[in-house]
Amino acid sequence: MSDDLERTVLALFEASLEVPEADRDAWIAQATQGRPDLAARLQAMRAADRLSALETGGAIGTLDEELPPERIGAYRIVERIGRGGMGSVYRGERDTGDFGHVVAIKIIKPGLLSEVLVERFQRERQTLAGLTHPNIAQLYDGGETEGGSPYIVMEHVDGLPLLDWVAEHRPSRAQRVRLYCDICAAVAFAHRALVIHRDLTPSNVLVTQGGVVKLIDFGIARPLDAAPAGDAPSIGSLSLTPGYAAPERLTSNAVTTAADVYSLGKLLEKLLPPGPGDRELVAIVARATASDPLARYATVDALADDVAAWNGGFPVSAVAGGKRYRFGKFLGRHRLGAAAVTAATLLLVGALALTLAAYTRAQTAQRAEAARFEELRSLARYMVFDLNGRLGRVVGNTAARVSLAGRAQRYLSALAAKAGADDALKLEAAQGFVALANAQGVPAQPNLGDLAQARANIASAVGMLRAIGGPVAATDLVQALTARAMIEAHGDSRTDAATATLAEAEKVLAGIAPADRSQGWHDARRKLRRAQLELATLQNRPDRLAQLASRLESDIAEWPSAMRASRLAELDRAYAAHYRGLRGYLVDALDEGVVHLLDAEARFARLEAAVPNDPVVLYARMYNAYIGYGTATGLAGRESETKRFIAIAHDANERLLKIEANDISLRSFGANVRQIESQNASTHGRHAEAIALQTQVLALFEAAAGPTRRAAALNRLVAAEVTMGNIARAAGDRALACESYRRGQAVMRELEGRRELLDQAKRFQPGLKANIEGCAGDMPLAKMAIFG
Amino acid sequence: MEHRPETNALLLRWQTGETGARDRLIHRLYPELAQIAAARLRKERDSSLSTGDIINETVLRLVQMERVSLSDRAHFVALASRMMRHILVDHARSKGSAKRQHQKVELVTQIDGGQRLDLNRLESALIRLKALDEGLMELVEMRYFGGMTTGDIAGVTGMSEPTVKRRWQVARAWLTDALANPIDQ
Repeated sequence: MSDDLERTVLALFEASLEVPEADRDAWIAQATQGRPDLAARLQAMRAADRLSALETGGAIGTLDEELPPERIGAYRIVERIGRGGMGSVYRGERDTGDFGHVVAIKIIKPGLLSEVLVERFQRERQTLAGLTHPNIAQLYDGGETEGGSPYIVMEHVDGLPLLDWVAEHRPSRAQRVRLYCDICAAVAFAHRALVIHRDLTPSNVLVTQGGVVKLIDFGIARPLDAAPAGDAPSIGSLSLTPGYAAPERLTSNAVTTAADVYSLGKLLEKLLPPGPGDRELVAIVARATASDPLARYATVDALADDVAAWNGGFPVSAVAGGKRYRFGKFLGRHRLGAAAVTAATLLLVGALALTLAAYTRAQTAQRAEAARFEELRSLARYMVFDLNGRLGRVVGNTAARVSLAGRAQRYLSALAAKAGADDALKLEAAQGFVALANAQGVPAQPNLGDLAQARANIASAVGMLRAIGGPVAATDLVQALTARAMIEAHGDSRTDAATATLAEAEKVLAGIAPADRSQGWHDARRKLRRAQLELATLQNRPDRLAQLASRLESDIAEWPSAMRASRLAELDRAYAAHYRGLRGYLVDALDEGVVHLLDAEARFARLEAAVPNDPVVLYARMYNAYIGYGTATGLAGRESETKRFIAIAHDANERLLKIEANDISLRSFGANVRQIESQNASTHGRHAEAIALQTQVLALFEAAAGPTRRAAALNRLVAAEVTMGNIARAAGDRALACESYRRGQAVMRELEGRRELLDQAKRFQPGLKANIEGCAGDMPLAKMAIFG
Repeated sequence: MEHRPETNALLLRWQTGETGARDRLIHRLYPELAQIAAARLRKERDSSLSTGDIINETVLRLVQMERVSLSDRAHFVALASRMMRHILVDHARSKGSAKRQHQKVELVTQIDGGQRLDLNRLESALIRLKALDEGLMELVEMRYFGGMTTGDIAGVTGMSEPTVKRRWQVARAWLTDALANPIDQ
């Protein structure tokens, strides 16, 4: 191709552009007559013109993306089906004979994720892979391309983006509501699995030909919370879709379920545009998209309930209207002969203030209000039991739960004050107080870390239940006393008081004749057993642990059959194995201990598989893995179990902190794990590492003790100082060892003076005394035994 | 910025035909452009910046716009576009030579073409296009590398806007064909 030919081609092509499209072929034929080379070049130019990839200002985009690989894993890349800010999506087919298997493969652009986020992304994939729901595109696999781009392989959804589907199919209002509720159900399901979508937009909601909703890109955009401060922009911030992203995401790194609620509110507005008369729908959207995350619906379920209520003509919690609105709805429903009042549609967080006022009025108006009074009672029940339980499983809801607990608290106090001589009402209020206290701060289980409020509520409950007296109040009294004992033992480090409280509880239980022992009675007893086991642990009584573990297990045989078949039976068997393992650890029968702890782990793992992220199971699994790590770490041939235990402990702790960031014991748990790691480093002669780790442990326990010098943390601090002494001694740093032993002794004396020294820490007394004397007299120091 | 007045003066001197002023302008402009482009490629900056945004930002940093006529600004942007070409091509080269090096690159959402361009090959094609029709090559610099509007290009080149559009279409078609059928390989 000579330059002259090319110049002619350029000139002719330019001239041809001024010829009308329809005449262009003829014009070119004419102009290139007798010059087949020229004709061919011009046709090539025309073809290229239709393909051109050069866009104005597009140069910089060329550097952005590597070419897609030909294949990924077992899949052959067929074509690109989409492209967005994060990267491109390709259609992939399995070419190993399995023709039906079509997948979507998303390749994230390299460099988009910081190292920290890539790691996080890999871990997150495992969670996502477990997210199996009919309305969520299933994630199959993931990895990293040769060029370093993370990718994910997911279910290929043959469908249209939500709004396109709506424009094409023009669904009815009922169909739209159903679609919306399906979307909400999928998001709520994910929240229970501790996954937040983070980028809910109409284009991330696909609708298949059959009208089935499929959410894509679940949780793929990760927040910054994992990345160190000052790091490059997070994926979270990159994936914000204007108009759908919650406002707090622009200013805050912490992404919670409230952000998804916001996006769902925006989605609702698009899917069901409110008309001029739709006051309620407007209110629902406003509530969901409130700029203050706390003012939004606490859960996706609450939002969906309101949409369903609106659709069914029930009152909508988002309408903060007065009595007339509610009453109008109430009458309207009855006039229409609608189904009996369903608590669920009414019993939503926001309705509480409203109903409280209505409750006061209900006292004055008589008969017609009786029905409403029943609603109010169910509200309390719902608030304290159902909703709290539901929220408890949802990640990032600490603030919502604290606020909910506060509201429930006010309601219960009002109910208790109005109860007067009505024992049934009093009983109900007392039950509420116990349930609330459990959520607020009863130790050795997931809680909000509000020990003071829990203590006060338990005191109220015990008072009311004693006043009622008799068999009616017996099982609730046992539950209240058990909770009190847990607070006394773990929270206040007063094991003697806890012993007395549990003795009283046991007496109350025994006072019920065998024939009258209900499921509630058995449930109260199993909780009592666990409290006894916790107490025995704190009192350092291994033999009692073994005895109680056997009893916990043999009790199951006496349960009613329905209860025997439930999850609780398996949970208690797991607990029994755990405490047997703990005993082995305490008496230094490590080989035997590991066997029990592994048994417990297998049981907890099965329970977790059945109900993912059940906080109670996670909690137990975390402690079991922690003890398991401490037990296995010294044993030959248990290296892989040691690693597995520590990984499980870290993972469970991390997930629990997502659910409940306020729980002090969860935070100090991290210190416990580190302490075992430091002991391990010391045993293997990595002295500097051990000292560094243990220094962190001391700082963590000091922080957990706080300005009020919490006894539970101080008792642990004693053991931590002793551990530091041992580590320093092994490292040959006598000065540090002596200083640590002395500090341990000082903390011990402080606790002793407050009568809050636990036996668990007290047992260091003689050893510390001897070593401190050794320090003064320049005598050799002895290694001190550490358990627990 | 304290070097603005001097840049303005250079710009005026360049416009009155002083070639030395142009070279000094380039000296001033290039490091700024390279720095912003590199920062964007390392994804330190706003991810939505296009080449045109980068150039405009650079120009704003260097020049007191209110003292510069629109046509002067366009000339300046055209100059910057050429530098952007060098910066990006250099970048593509270094990327090609160190394939395994983990490249921090950024996303651009405004282009959604089917094909990804290889800048190294585009550079070869542009060199050949310059030999055939230098004006077309400059048009590509201004539009593809500089993100300039047809109006601004018309101002710089003295062509009418329809002509700019038509010539851009010619350049685009020729390059696309050249990239699909490279003669030198």
